[in-house]
Amino acid sequence: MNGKARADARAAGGSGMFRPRLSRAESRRLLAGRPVRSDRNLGLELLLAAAAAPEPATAASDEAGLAAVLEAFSAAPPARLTGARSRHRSAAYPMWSRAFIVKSVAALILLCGASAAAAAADVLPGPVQHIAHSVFGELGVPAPQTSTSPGPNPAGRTPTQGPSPLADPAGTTDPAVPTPTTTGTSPAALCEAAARSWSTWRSTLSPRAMAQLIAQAGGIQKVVPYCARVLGGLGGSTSTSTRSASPTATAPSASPTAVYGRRGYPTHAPTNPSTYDPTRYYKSHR
Amino acid sequence: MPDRDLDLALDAARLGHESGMAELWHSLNPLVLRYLRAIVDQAAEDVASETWLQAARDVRGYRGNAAGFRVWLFRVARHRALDELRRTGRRLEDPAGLCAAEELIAPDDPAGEALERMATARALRLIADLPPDQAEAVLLRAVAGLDVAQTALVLGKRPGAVRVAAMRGLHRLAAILAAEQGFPVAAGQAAEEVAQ
Repeated sequence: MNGKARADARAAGGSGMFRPRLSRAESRRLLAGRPVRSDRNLGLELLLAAAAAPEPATAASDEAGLAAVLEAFSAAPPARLTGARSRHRSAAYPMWSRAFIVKSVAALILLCGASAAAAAADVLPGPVQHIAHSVFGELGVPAPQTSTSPGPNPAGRTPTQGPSPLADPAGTTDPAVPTPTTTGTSPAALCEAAARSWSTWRSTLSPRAMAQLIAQAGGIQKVVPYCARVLGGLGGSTSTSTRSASPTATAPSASPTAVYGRRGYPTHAPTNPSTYDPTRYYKSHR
Repeated sequence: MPDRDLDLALDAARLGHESGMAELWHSLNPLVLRYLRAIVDQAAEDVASETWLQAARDVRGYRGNAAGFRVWLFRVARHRALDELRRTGRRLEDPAGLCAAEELIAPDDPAGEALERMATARALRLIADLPPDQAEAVLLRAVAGLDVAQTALVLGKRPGAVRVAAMRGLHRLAAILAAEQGFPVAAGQAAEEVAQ
């Protein structure tokens, strides 16, 4: 029946002699269920009204269906946040949950700390260390060791470029040696500060000083023995740093001037602790 | 049922009152069923049940008004219906037939109501015979009472596409009615003008 009617309508459509009987405004009114008051569209209006007519009062209601719905409703946990809106939200923004932000910040802090410690300990590759030095030099990050980098220079020129001023007695005043200006607080001063209270030195020292001290000692576990060596006045041993690899550092140089290891840190404590001025290096470096 | 009353029912349901949930079901289930019959025909009752079970579970956590709930409910119904079609290997384009609508007419109905039901069933059958996008647009607009924006949300289309589909559906229905009464109408021409 419908197929035939539609076929008729299509066949009639080919003639093109009838105007469309439905304006846009009329369609909008019809779709919104408002009266059109137009006789030519009365059939359409009745059809839509019939389609949208409420169920008759005597309609056989699906009581079993309602009972099942109410059972599920009662069994649902109270205030469960799985409704349409909340589910949508949790699906759309899972990464901005509070836990995520907290973890991200913690990870970022750890990463920065690890990078800074690595830079301060001078264990990064040369180029990276150079960048770290240029950015965080103020915080005591040393310059890269040029002696370990495979430079194209002839070996004979290496000592003049290296940070070790031992080959040059005037190294402490040589402006070509950059490291003394960026070493910050001397290990002696740091150890002095830390030694005031070994039980609380990690909290009494500033984070910057602590990082410096740990870097100089070569590890947090080595801080105490390191400072014991620095402050203990180990007599004529000029090279108190175990990490000083310069062959000239083992030379019996008893010079009272600062003796720099290969990283440019003063690694030598004066022979007489009683006359030792812990702020001397600090002052000379500022 | 006006949205104001639906809002009250929704608030009650959200607070855990069964009366509110029952009110929502009584108000909206007939509309959901009419929409679903046009899509999944015989499976409409089952799909409606699944839809309402989900609504019953989730209504307490729903944040929004009755209009939004109506959209959400029809979205759920539509997705469940598409799942059902997928499961049975049918497509939305396959004719639905609306057999179930006429089965609803009980023999002991009062005469007037029987006529009303027949009119309703016949109207729904005509709408369901439209191309699926037009049928859905006309049903959601004229039967479910959604506006263009809400219908677009349910169907996942742009409002402009919904407007065009509904207009074409109405033109086609008008053409069919006119043809049945012996007044040929240029349905194809009308649809083309709408598309322009």
